[in-house]
Parts: sequence; structure tokens; C-alpha cells
Amino acid sequence: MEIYGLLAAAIVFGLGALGAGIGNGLIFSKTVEGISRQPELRGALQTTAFIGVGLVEALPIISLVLAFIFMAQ
Amino acid sequence: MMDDLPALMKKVSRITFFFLSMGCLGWVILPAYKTVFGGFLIGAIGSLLVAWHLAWKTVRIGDAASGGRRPRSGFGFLSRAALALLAAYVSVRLLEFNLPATVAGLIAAPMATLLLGILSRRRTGGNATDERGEKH
Repeated sequence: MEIYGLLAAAIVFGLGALGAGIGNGLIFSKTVEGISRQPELRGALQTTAFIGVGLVEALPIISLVLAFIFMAQ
Repeated sequence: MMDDLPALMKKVSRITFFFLSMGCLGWVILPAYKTVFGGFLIGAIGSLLVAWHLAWKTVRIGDAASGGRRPRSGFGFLSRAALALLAAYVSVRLLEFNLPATVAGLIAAPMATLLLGILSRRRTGGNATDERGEKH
């Protein structure tokens, strides 16, 4: 039973972190590119990036907590 | 149009503090559900810390990009994940609060951000960055 808990934790956090990594990379790369092209739009781009990353990162944080619980079982 | 990150953070903090006050009210009014409201309170505090850290990192990366420098550190996901894990550990293991309520508290600040983002988009009529007059 313990091995299944570890396996569940690995799958949950691994897939969550994979999606968040791709999403964060896309958001921050486009933000940095946009700020480099137009520094005067920094405020708007930072705000949009913050909203996007805040939403993208909610899922892996929840999956981390779930993985922590699965691992303890 | 909301293009000021500190103003957005102030609004997110205000909404999360509202959630916290609701949790405190529930803790007092319904003592039978203390574990649920306690877990929600700890999770909401953790999510607020995560949101502040994310805003700080976003500003740092924006400063580095506008200055033409390469950001030396990463985006700090590991620190935020550790903060959330610490909140869950304190809530579930040390104080023995409810786990689903803690997870619900951990998404309080992202939900506030989503709400403000949707409201901001609706108020500006869709595209939030068409400042150069490129209206279609």
C-alpha cells in the first residue's frame, strides 16, 4: 500500500509541476520579451503576468499538498 | 485599466483579508466546525504569502528586463511551493485542522486574482494592452 502512495504522490506532483513549468516559461518569456520591446508598457505586462502565473501556479501548489498527504499514507 | 501591480496586490490582499475575516467569524459562530475554519485560515494566510512573493519576483524580473539585464535568480516556484507545504504541514499535522479546508484556503488569493482579472478585462472591454491605438 505504501508503494502506491509514493507512486500517486510522484504522478500528482510530477504532472502538476510539468504543466506549471511549461505555463510559467511561456508567460515569463513573453513578458520579458514584451518589456524589452516596449519598456513603457512594463506595468501592464507585469500585471498580466502576475494574474497568469498566479492562476497557473495554483494547481501545482494544490498537487504538492495532495502529494504530501498521499506520501504520508 | 489595471496596469499597476502594487494596486492589484493591494486589492488581492484586501479580498484575502475579507476571506480571513469570514473564517474568523465562522470560527466564533460555529465552534463545531473549528477544524474547518482553522484550516481555511492557515491556508489563506499561506496563499497570501505566496501571492506577495510572486508579486515581488514579478517586479524583480520586470526591472531586470527593462534594464536590459538577465535575471540572475529564477521565478522562485520552489520557495512558493515550500511556503504552501509549510502552511499545509502546520495546519494538518501540527494543529490537526481539516485538509480540504486548508487546500481551499490555499486557493483564496489565486481566486481573488482571477476575479480581479476578469473584472478588469470586462471593464476595459476585452484587450487590456491596446494602448497604442491599435483598435480593430
